[in-house]
Amino acid sequence: MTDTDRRAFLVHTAGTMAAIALIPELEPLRRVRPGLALKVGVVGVGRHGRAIISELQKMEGVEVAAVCDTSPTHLVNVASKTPGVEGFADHRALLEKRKDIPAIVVATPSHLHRAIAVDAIDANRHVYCEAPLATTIDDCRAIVRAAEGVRGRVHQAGLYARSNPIYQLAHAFFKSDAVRELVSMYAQFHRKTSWRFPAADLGKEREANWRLDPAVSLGLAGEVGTGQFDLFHWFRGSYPTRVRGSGGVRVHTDGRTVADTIHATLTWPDRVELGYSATLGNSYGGQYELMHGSNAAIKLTWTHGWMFKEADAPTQGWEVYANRQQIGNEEGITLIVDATKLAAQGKLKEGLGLPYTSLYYALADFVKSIEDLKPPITSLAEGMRATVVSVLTHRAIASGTEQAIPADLLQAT
Amino acid sequence: MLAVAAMGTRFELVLVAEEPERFRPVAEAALDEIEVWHQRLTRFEPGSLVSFINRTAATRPIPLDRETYDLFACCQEVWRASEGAFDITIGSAMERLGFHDRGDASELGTVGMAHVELDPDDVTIRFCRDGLSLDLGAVGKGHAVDCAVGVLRGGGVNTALLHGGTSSAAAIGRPPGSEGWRVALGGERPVRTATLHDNCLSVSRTSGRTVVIADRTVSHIIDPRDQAPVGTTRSVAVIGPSARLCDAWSTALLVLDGVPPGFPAEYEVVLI
Repeated sequence: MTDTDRRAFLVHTAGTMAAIALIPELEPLRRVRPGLALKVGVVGVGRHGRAIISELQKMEGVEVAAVCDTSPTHLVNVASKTPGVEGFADHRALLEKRKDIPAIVVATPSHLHRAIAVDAIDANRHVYCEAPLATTIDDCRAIVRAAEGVRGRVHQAGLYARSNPIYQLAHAFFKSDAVRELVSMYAQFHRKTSWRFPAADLGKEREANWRLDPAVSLGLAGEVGTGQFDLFHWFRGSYPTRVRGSGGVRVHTDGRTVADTIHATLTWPDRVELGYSATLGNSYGGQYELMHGSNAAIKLTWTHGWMFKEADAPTQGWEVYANRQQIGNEEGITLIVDATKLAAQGKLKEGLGLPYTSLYYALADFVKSIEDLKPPITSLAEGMRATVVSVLTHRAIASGTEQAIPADLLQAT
Repeated sequence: MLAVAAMGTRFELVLVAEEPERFRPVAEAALDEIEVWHQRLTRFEPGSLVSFINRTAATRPIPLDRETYDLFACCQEVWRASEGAFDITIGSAMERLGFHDRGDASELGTVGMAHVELDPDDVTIRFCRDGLSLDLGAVGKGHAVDCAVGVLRGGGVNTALLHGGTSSAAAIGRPPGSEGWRVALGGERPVRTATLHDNCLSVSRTSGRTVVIADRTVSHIIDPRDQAPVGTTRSVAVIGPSARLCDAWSTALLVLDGVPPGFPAEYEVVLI
């Protein structure tokens, strides 16, 4: 969240009680009352929606009260497996009938986010919308504008890195000059899969495979890259200004036109570049992000993080006690959350890896923002900026031409 | 043939179809289902549901989805029917014997499904005492295979063989012109085989994973009742409708060295 976003949220929040008075049928949302569960509705309950429900069920004081999906099969599957949940085929019916549900999670295919997110915001709900925020810049802006002026509601974009404790620790190191001059950045998503899914309902193959539909899909740059690009926006506190790329169908020659393998180079104003590679043809290395600095490199893999120091980098006092791991030929300092406390208890190694998924931390931040009525960790405006970068990256790959990322495109208005 | 690495092993799927590419998405969805259950059930990743339950269920009831609840309820039924020979609360005993990290060999672990409370109305799990630790190693592969078979059948697949680490297998239909899928059960020659046709198979053997304790190599199969490794070398195969029940019972029968009255009638035991 930028300073502008934060100021805007605080200004909007100032009129919270007035807003509640105008909508008496909604529960008072200033704070979740002790002993009362926060009811959440999840719109879109395919594979990812199921994962969201699973993470929400781990949270004390949170109840998944309703689910919504246009697929009858998805709806029946999830509703029958989730105790106490009511199923809806239309999100508007959910918003109208279940006014006791103050929080909505939008997890539909990306090109359908706009209508649901805007309706939920207009219905005065707290909204968590997965990233990419939408698949067009216009739709992103419409979602952000819908939230402008709304008071006392939390509107969060689902960008997981900012909620991930290891990434937060790495961010602190990055900002503390541990890396020193940034030389280059790299990120990848490598997974061997066709990205083609069986239709849950007869005759709905196209809907099930929206990721492969060039009319609505942002391809790998959008569906996977958005969250990874945002990490670099956050660490650097700035955005790339141009992007070039290439891609094609290298493995899954089943008639698709959406690339199964892409490469992109995003360039920041200081000419530092982010190299990005994504493929559905090979799983080597999986998903990770890397920052090379003149003093150290930081590698992050969503559940683990390491810092690899240069031999001539100054040694910090705490490094004597740090946990180290051999990764190939390199020895990395393991990034461990609460390392000082764990070291004092002699339990440093118990801190390796995270006790929850990145998705859990993002959803938990959403819930905590509602409880405390504080700005979300990742605003919709930030979600829009990450999505705009991925829209233009996808465009650069599809067209084979370099795309400028002008600053005004990163603004909602 | 498609494969995925999960639950510390390799799952392989062989699918027979006139247009195999048409079924590729269904096959991938089935293997995805196995990965989903790996991520939920593994105790080796701190972010899994089972790790969360192990950390938290002694402090409050943990809400579950219906599928996970049914899995735990099924495990509780086998625990009762096997008179305690199969028990998913074996985690701390496995740690103590050195099969998992952080074990303390000096004292017995806290084990006993009797200390687990499953609430069918609220669909929750709760530990009635501290120190319990779930380990679904003896049933997770079979459960994942069952769930994947559900995806395959739902996607219209009618001829396939799926196995996890060659110890848990499920057959859908039979290859054209055959009585079924012939599966070697291992053991001494001549190797025995089973013919599977719309049913499942699990093989448990004491000679699998081992650790050395006091200069003695011991089996990874633990008797939950005294927390001692099962001593004699033997193998058991169970054939029946559900891979997870085949898994659970093949482990229980190894521990018991016999078939208890509670063994389900529709399942078959093969001693190898």
